[in-house]
Amino acid sequence: MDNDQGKYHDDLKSVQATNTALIKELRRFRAAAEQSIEMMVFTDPEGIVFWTNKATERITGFTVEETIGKKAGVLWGKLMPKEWYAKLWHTIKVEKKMFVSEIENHRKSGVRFWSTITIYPLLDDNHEIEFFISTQRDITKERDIDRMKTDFISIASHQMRTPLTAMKWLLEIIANGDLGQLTNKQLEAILDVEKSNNRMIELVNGLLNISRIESGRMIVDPKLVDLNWLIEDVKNDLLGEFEERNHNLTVNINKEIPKIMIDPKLIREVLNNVLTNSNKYTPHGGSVTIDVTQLENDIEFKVSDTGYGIPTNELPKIFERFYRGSNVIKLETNGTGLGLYLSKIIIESSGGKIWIDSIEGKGTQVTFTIPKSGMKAKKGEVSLSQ
Amino acid sequence: MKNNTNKIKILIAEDDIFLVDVFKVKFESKNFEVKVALDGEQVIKALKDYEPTVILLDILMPNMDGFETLKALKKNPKWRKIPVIVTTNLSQSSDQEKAMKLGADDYLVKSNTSLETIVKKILFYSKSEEA
Repeated sequence: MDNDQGKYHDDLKSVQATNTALIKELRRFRAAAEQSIEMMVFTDPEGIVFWTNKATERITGFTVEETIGKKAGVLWGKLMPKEWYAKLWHTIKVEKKMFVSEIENHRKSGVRFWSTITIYPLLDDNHEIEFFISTQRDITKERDIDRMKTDFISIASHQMRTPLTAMKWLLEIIANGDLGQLTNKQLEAILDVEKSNNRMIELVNGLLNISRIESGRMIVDPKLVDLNWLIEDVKNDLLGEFEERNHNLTVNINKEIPKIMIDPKLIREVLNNVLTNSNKYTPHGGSVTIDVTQLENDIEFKVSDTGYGIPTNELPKIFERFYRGSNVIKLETNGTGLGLYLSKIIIESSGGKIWIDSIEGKGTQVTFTIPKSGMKAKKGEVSLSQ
Repeated sequence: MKNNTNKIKILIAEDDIFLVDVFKVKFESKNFEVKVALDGEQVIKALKDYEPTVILLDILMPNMDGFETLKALKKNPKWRKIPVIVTTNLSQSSDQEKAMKLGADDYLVKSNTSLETIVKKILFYSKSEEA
């Protein structure tokens, strides 16, 4: 009896100890969640809020009392496109996986804010959803700073254009002999300055395009495009440059290839960049081939050349901005290192992929895909330099 | 054109005085007559008693910009037919589309265009003007 009672007493003690430990731990986590700078919202499987922290009030302006019992979306949401919400619910409710994205919401005052958001379902032993935990970090400031940076690059580059133009034209006048005959040496020097000036103009154009595309404010205006026509057009534009270097330019494209919804200006920019590289980085008298093929879900574009190639160890860096292959920098001073970077952003934001295979001294193959479903239209504010 | 000489007359709308000087050197060497307007308002003022063969029109100018000027030019039956070559450093395709919609005949991005090309365009539009 005594023993039993003693055991009971001990058990009780250990339960109490466990409880105390649990409560302590709960308090700790609760304090952490309460004081977190990220807003945290717990909802039931239907999305009704049953717990929020102080950051939620600070960020949204809605008090804890105002929030509990309501749907978070009703209070501060509904600004994202329908598909976005559909994807969110599908991920957390059907796939029962974590959803990560960026979201625009509005505060109680009506002022909009951007945040990174993660929502994950907490599942019970039967794999049913018990509740959702959503955390959000206000990134409005970061986005503003980013925008300011982009705007600065854009304004600065734009301001550089007028003096660069004045130099370009004056050099042209001087080289032309309009201001008096030049000696051969003088002419040579002037032509060198002209080349440098043109490089600077090219760089400024590249920077402007990069700042526009990085701003996320690029207009995407898809049209039903016949790729035969697009390729032919790009080819005609570049024919002069290819002839100058005596290259053989071949196009293999099936006439039956389906038309796709793409923004021709953006895809033209990619083709232009890739082809200009092939032209520039292939020794005179080489060959460049464009293959366009239809895959199951994508259209694949492949540009192959018999050029200098890219050293294997540099391949991972080739899409970085301003990066130029170490073997070609000496051969071809002209170039900004922005073409492939820009192309990658365009292709990836179009839902496609771009990659490079290359053997130094043998040639390079740039491949990119565009989904047959086409590019999504986007109302933006900026477009590429034409 | 009604004037008695066959000299090509260019009205340049450009607010950068440095660029204006360069234009002048080149165009005068081609024996073009040159008149300068530093903004859109000056273009409208100049047109009251000046009949240019071709207008070179910058976009970013104080007081009245190139887009506004184009609108005013195309609204007026007397000025509507004067060829307008937009010469600007606004390079976005959306700006070009806007200018063409407003009735510009050509759109040249200054930093990507040689003076020789501008001269060729002027000669081209002067001829189409005579015809």
